[in-house]
Amino acid sequence: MFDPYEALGLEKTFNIDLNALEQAYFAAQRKVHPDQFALADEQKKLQASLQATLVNKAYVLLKNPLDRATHLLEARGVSLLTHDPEFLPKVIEWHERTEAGEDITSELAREEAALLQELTQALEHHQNERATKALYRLNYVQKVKK
Amino acid sequence: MPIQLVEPGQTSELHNPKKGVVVGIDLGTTHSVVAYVPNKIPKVIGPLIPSTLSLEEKGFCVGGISSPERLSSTKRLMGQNIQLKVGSHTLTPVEVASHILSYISDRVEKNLGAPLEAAVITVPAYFDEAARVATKQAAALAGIKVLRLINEPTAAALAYGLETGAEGLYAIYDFGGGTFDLSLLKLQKGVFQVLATGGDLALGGDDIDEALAKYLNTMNVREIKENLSQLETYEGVTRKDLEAIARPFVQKTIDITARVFKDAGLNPKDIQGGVLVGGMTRMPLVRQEVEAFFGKAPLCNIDPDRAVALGAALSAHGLVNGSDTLLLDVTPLSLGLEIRGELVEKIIPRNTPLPALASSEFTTQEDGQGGMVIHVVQGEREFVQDCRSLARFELKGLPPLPAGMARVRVDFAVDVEGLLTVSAIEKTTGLSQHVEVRPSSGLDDKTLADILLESQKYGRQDMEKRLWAENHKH
Repeated sequence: MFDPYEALGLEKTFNIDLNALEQAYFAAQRKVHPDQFALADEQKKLQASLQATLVNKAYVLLKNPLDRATHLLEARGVSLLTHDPEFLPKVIEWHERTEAGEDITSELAREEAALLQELTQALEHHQNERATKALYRLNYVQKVKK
Repeated sequence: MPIQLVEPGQTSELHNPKKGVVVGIDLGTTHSVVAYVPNKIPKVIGPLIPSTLSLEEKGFCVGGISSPERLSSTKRLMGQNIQLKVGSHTLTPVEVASHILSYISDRVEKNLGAPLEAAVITVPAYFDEAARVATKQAAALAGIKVLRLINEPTAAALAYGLETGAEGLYAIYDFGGGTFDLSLLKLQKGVFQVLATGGDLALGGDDIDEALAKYLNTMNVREIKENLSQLETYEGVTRKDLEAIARPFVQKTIDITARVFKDAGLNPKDIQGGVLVGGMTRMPLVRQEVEAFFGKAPLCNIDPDRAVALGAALSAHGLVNGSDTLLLDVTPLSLGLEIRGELVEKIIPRNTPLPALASSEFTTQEDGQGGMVIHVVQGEREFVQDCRSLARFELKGLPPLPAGMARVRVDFAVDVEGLLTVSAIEKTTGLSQHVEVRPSSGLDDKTLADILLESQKYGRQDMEKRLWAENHKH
């Protein structure tokens, strides 16, 4: 399984310092970016391109908290939720209020912040079931916000 | 697999470039510029070259602006399958570009007394697959070795950043003769990281010229437009008249700029400055509108006509001699596949750092289905009909399995130049097919220009239509 933390040489935690992530990303690209191999043979260029692709993939994944959480849970062998009956009434309520023309943007933003905190705590304490719930809901809220 | 690393700065020892000159070429819509790096400082070789091709007694002539029968602004047609007429000859846009590139190659040799060894050629950030491939074909026809294509705003950022030592977030506003690009970059310790990019391939000074020509009912209006950047009145036309005509075009650039900021999750006040590139940024109206949007005066301390070529020269020099500078660019348009006969599944979203690789898995709809059509599209809309078709191929000879049992994985790989390769593999048998995307149909200028605007306009409507379509197929 692809390990983005390993690809960038970062410690495997959910809470990461975005600045440290960026510095690790730049350092890794300096070593493998295809531009460093402009005059090398095709074989080397291809290898560099593959390495740079993995470094990019790791960076994009780790930058997004939801993808980061998904990766950590999958790496722990936890299956993600595909539905959440307890959450459904809220979904319907939001839908109805939006249909009625109400602006629920600020409420969604508050909900998002609360869920992110919930997710962080659950992941840090290895409460995987709690984390999958928060992740499922957070995914939904972000989709609605868009 | 471990790879042998070459530290930056070490390449020159491994590969000594021969006697030839390594250059950067800005192959522009109205003008082309070539530059090189003689002593660490990039320098333009000779005057700007009008990107025109005419047929004279002695043969094809590049850069002439007097001949009434000449081809100009053909860059806007790059990647299209069309024939252009000049005299009794017909040429493709690729052939016109190759004539211009040959002329540039001759100029380099004449002025510097050494042959052109290799080049970095710039393209609009918003150039799609077809246009990028066409640019490389033109260089090959002209016998020029291309080190790499780089995006014009990225090249300008390189020239600006290396000259001024600027660090932080910058917006490059590149409004040229034919195209508009806006890129947001983070400059930090030699790293030039593009965060988001956007543009319009059919929005440039040419469009304003055309509108002005219609209004005045006369050709050759470029001189009038250019003079009105300094004067209030010229040849009976006032700057106010021109501004009334130019305003809708300028507004379009501001709308695109706003969208790119939104994509990057940034606010205009987050940036250190906006850098102006391209001839159109000389127009006072443009500066005024850009200043109003950014909330601060734009930076115009680099030559808007030469910055791109200077940046390309720095890039070429760095690629050959080794460099501490790192360019990290992104893909300008989303890449995806047709699913369920009408919807688009995005495989690589726009603004993904390059090189990029992404996969998606599909299965068969019918028992014993022997083949699967893979249709690759580019664009932001939810429906195939609204996106640009890049390639279509069929993975044949699938094993006879019940519906839903075959597993076809499609891989998209985009390299640092923005060029796409698609491959498909049936996982139970290992049957595979590999396609380098060479778009067959030419892009309709307008289609591309409208892709993003429409995507914004119809985003919600599309999403609703899509949800409906999905729900009714379950």
